[in-house]
Amino acid sequence: MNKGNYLGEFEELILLAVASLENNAYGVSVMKYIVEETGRSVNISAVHQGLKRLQRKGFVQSTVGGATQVRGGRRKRFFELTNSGRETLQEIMNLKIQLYLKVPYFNLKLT
Amino acid sequence: MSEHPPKWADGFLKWYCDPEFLEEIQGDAHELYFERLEKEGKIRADWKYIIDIIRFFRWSNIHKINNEQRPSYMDVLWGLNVKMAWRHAARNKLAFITKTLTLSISLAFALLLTAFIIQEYSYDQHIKDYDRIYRVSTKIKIGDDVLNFGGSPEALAQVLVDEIPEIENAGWYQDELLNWRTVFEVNENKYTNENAIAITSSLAEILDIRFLIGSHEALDEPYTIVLTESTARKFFGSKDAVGETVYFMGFPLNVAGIVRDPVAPSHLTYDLMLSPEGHDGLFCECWDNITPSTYIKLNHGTNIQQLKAKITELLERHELEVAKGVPLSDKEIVLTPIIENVADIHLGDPLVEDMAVKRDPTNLYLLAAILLFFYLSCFANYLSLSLSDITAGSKKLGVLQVFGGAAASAREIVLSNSLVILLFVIPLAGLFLLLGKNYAHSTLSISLEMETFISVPFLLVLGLLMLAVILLFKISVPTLGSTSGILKMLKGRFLENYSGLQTKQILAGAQLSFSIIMIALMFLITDQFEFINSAYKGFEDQNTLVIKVPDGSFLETRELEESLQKVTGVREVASSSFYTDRIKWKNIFNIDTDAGIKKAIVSYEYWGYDFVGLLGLKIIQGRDFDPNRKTDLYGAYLINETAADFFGWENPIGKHISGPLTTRIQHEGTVVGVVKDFNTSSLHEKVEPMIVFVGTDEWSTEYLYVKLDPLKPTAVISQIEKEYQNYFSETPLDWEYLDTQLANLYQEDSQVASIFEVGLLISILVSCLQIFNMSAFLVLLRAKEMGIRKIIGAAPLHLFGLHIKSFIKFTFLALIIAWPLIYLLSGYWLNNFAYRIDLSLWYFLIPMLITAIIILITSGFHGIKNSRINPIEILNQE
Repeated sequence: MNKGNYLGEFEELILLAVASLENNAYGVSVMKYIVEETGRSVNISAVHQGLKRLQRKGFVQSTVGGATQVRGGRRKRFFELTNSGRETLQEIMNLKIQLYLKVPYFNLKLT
Repeated sequence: MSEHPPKWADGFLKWYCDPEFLEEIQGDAHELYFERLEKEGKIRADWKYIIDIIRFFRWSNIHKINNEQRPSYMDVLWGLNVKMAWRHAARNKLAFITKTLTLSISLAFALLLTAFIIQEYSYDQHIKDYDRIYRVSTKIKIGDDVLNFGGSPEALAQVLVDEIPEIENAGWYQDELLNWRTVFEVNENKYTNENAIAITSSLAEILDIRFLIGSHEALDEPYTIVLTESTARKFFGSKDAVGETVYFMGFPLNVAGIVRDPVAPSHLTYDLMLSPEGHDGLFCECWDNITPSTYIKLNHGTNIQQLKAKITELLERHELEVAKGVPLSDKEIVLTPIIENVADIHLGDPLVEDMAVKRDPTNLYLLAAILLFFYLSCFANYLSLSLSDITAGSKKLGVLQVFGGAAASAREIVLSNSLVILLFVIPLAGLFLLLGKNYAHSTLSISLEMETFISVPFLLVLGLLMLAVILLFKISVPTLGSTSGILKMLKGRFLENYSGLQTKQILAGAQLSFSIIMIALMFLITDQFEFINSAYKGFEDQNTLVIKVPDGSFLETRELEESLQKVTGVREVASSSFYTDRIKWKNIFNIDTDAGIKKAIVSYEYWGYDFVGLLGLKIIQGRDFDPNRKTDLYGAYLINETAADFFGWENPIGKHISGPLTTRIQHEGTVVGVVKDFNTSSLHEKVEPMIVFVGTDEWSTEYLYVKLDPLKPTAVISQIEKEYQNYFSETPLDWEYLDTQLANLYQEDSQVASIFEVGLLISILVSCLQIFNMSAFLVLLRAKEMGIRKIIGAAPLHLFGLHIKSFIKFTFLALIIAWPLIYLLSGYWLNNFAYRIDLSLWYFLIPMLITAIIILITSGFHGIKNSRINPIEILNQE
């Protein structure tokens, strides 16, 4: 894994959000998901930035959706995971579990 | 839907956002806005929307200027541009070298001068909490005479700390210990050139003197001495100095500490420090010793005016103790404090018997004015430099643009030309800076500290300089931005309409006016110095030796005087307290004026019997001291003319004087003679009233004046040295010629003069080159015209005249700028001499003539070339 494809902590969160939102992942929904699930305060610009970066790294891909009434007729850009993104998430989880399990005398409850 | 986000924020988003992302960003932002509108209300929603829009303002979202059709990007052509500039420089080697040299020399000079001025203004600012440290000097008023005295009573410091709560700490130091000639003895070796001060431990603490070994408390012990690092090395070599013994005037002193050598510029200099404890009778914690300088450190937020009132009140209570032994009533003597911040002492007003290292700020103002001119001329130089690059490459640029080069690329080419030049100028300027720094140190004895070059003000100047260079660059290349300019360039109209030439003329004019000012000031300064040197000092200074005599040795001196008189080659010998470079002593005298007996503070001297004859002083009334009259010893006074005027005496002979009153030695008698005025100090100052009496056994003899036969001085001097050693084997002979001693008085002025000389040389060089450059440019422009004129039948002389004529306009411009400035600056400088030359018309005309000659020479080369042109060749070219 070279540095260019390294996944930052916040990017990882966004990637997870995109993964769980399935077909409804766009800027505002991703932001709300993170806010609701983690309780962090996140601003929309940072989410856009993160999504853009993930796209450049090839972890997500985007399609422009249809117009809706709510947004004054403006279209949304929907994101979904690429294979590479899925694999990376898998890899990160495996790596972390592997590392957590090696912590001695440390009774982590892994669910 | 009636509600909508703030329109201006929306407009801002549309303006900056890359169209590719606009829809999604705006969509998301609006969605959030309407949600918040429902939940949180309009105000909060608006506010958050604005914040969102500002947050979206990121580099990756910003609309990029797209100019990809033309190969104009700096990063593409960068290497190429630099290469082009480099080739351009290589092709015009001479021009390139002269340009870089002049620019870097003037830059280095300007920076050195900046550093010098900054350093002069940053004296003592390195001291911790310097803004709370003040010096208390005394203003003494006796009758109608006011004396701003550098010292203050020795007992003052302690009383200030005890009685005034605002004062955190106070201390004093004294420079003149017994007299100025201190002898230190270490392991049989004698050292006489040490600058020794006696200093209290509290002052060492206030002034933040760094101890390497020991602490300031060492100065509380009796008979201790603290050395600076370099003095310790000088006295003891690499051996540990602490605990060793140094003999001072026969007393053993214990080395109790080592301090760091003073690095940053300070008004206080020292090689070693003595504890004031011990030394019976030398220091007394008393009020009538007013030689020490007293310093105080205040608490935060102390009001100086209130403090001054308190100190005034305190001094008032002790006035009579200060004037101990002098028959003065409480009303006759008034003391008030002079409170100066420690950082202001260096450039502060002159005080009597002030021990601080000082500089007259007038010279600095003049230098600052020169510095400003120099920076301006640097800029003018730089501007005309990039301008000539534009014109030189204009056709090339035109072709480049027609074939698809962007208009902006012209800028980049000029920029890279300038950058290549700067690439050379900056290291060269650095080199010259170092050379100049060493030169200043060795020849002008101006030492610039490294700290100054990294101080905030200096870096600020550097930063401003960079900014100015960038701005100037922006100004200098606007002509090439437009497309219409390209066509003009190709047609050669850019050259025809002379637009570049006009700017060049103005620049060269400015540069020239600067040179004119420098020439005028240089003449003025040289003349003034000549005037001073040839002016009537009132005495003869040729072939006269001044020997410094060790203190407290009156009998030996008298014997030495007699034996020296027998040495062949010595014409006359006389003792005197007179010394040109010395702080003048003043004391209180009772003067019998027509309005009754009056007390006055007058400077005084004591002379041996032959001194008047030896110096060739003129007695204009009465007689000289007479060794055959016993009464002359304590009862005769000589005064100078000014004193006679000052006391209002028409016939001073026989008038009654007594004093100096504060000393224990009783002199009282009458005026026996009036000496024609002579200058005891530099001609910056007017002659002051002076009273002279005969030096008696109670007064220590200070100097022996020896008048030599002018024929073989060196042999005589070694003979004198031999005689001297018979009487003073402990102290080596220390002598000077009187005329060199006088020259030392003007050291500060001659420093300024040398800085001027260098500046003048540089500025003339630069303006010569600029005129030469311009004249070459003119020849290029008018080649065709000249060719045609010649074919029609113009004489070579006529053509030469035509060429020279183009310079007349800007020379006038230069003169019009220069003349009023010359008037202002020279008047200002001369005002600071009490005796000065008049500002004649010549100081305005001579620089004009010199510039005329400079122009003739530098442009004449091209003028002649122009007049001898072969018209066929020129007209054939296109």
